[in-house]
Amino acid sequence: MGLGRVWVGRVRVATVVIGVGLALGLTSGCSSKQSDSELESDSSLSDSEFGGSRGSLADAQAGRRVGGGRFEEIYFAYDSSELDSAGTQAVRYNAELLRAEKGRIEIEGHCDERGTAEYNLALGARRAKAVRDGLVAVGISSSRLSTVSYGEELPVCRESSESCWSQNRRAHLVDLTE
Amino acid sequence: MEIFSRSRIVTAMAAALTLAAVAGSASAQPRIDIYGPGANKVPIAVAPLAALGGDDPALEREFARVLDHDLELSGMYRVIDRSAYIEGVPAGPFAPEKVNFLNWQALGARGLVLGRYERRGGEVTLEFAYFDVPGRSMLGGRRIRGSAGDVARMAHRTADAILEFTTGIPGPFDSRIAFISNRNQRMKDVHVMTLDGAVQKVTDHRSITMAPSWSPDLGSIVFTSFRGGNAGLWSVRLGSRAETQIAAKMGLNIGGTWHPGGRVLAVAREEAGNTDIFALEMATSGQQRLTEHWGIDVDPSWSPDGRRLAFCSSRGGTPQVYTMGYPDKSVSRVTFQGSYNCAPAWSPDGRYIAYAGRVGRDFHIFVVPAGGGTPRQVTFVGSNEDPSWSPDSRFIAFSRETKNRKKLWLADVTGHWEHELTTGNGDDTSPSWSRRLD
Repeated sequence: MGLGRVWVGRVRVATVVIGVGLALGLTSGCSSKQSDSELESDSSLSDSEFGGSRGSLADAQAGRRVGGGRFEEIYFAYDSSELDSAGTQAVRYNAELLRAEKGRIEIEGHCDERGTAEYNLALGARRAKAVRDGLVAVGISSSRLSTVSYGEELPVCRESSESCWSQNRRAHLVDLTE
Repeated sequence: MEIFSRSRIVTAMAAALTLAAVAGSASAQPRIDIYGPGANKVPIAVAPLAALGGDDPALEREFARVLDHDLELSGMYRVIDRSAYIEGVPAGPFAPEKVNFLNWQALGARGLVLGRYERRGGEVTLEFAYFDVPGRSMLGGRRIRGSAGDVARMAHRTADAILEFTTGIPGPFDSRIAFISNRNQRMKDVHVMTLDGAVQKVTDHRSITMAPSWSPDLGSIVFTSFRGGNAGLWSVRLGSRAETQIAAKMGLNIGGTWHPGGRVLAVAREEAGNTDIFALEMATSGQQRLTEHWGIDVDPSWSPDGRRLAFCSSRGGTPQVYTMGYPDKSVSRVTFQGSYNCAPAWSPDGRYIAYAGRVGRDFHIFVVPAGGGTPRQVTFVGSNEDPSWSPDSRFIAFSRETKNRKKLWLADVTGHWEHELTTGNGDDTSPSWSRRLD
């Protein structure tokens, strides 16, 4: 996420009142001296530090690549939440994996960067629901399925090109471990 | 200096100063014509503050730094280099008779700011006056009292007063901008900045946070966070940093904005995949559904009188800006040009709605009369989203992406002037410009 791979570690820094520091202009936006160099990364932080994040959000918080996993991604056309034939096939494939199991999964809806952040959050929710409906339609119990939208916030790539955008317009399935 | 200081800044319209101004000018007070930011900047001289009693060089430097910065940021003034000044601040009450206008005019100054201060322990009293140099008159003066730690705010109020004396409308600089940033970290948190660039991080969610919005009393900020896994609505109090989760309903909760009267929060909520706008009644925890459409409805923005709400909806086939009456919910479409117009922001003076409209591959900020009409494009560079108005309705803050990096910028409403607001690493988005702090 972003260019700063600086990891502030375990110390909660935000709640300290900045007194003298501000008066001396230390945090003035006009004379920022922060570099992009990496500080110590703390890879031993567990997911529980982030209070319940899972899937792509947990990946991003831990600095892992977003996405992956055993399910197939379902892709969407621009500004659309309809399943095309490839999308329907992907839904069916995922359903077969799920059919023999009992566990719960979460369906994440994602968007490419075009469009405004809040609208994209709503569009991602539609995409997640479309996949949920598709899975239910082929017999997966709805009680196993939860949905979440991350809008354009957790992309798998950042280039401004159709080939990247098409990878980001997706629904992504995640096993929910209990 | 704690930028959320609650100490009061006392401003007094010093009667003596105004009387002197009236006595000094022959007719009704002339005003300097400001043609609009960016266009003909008014050259002004800002004399270094004179100290009554003990010198405080650090205070004088800080005052000058912040005042110069605000005047530059406005796009309306050009401060003449102080090394050229030959006059200082005259003694005694400010009045045109005391001013050697010829010497200031020789520098090319059309405006002149004279000020003096007195520091007693932790308390500072500042007095300043603004002069129209060609007109040989005084347009106004103020006295401000505050603590020594509040010098930046005094300078912001001075800049606001200069705009008020020269244009009739006070400036926006004694205010705050909340925004989202991942500066110095991997994930996003809510930050607050002053107009002279001091930034504080206000939350420690290290998650996805979005859409910060000020409470009417400026004591708290409502925002959306994925902390805990789902997009919930949170409120953080600026003093204590105490947080409350306002809405934990499953699904999206985004874009919480307070009704100007303060008891109701508009929010876009998802139900079974579809997102609609609701009004949350905070005292009773009740909610009123404001939109009921299979299309996406997001981005609520209240009119300043609280009687209407602007929002973005795909009900017409593509995302467009609409307004609705509150609480009657009568809907009216505002944008008709372009295939994607979203993120509306209603100006504090009620006259305009700013929004982000797509042009080709990029987004640009547009301004349209609130009742509908011909939109005017305000930005032409980069890709721009998240418009938020300054409290004087003169400027719009927004997020601009250039070369894959997002920073906050300011533009004046005509589009003739723009200026960077944030620098440094990371991506800064979603500015929410508060009202003035008084």
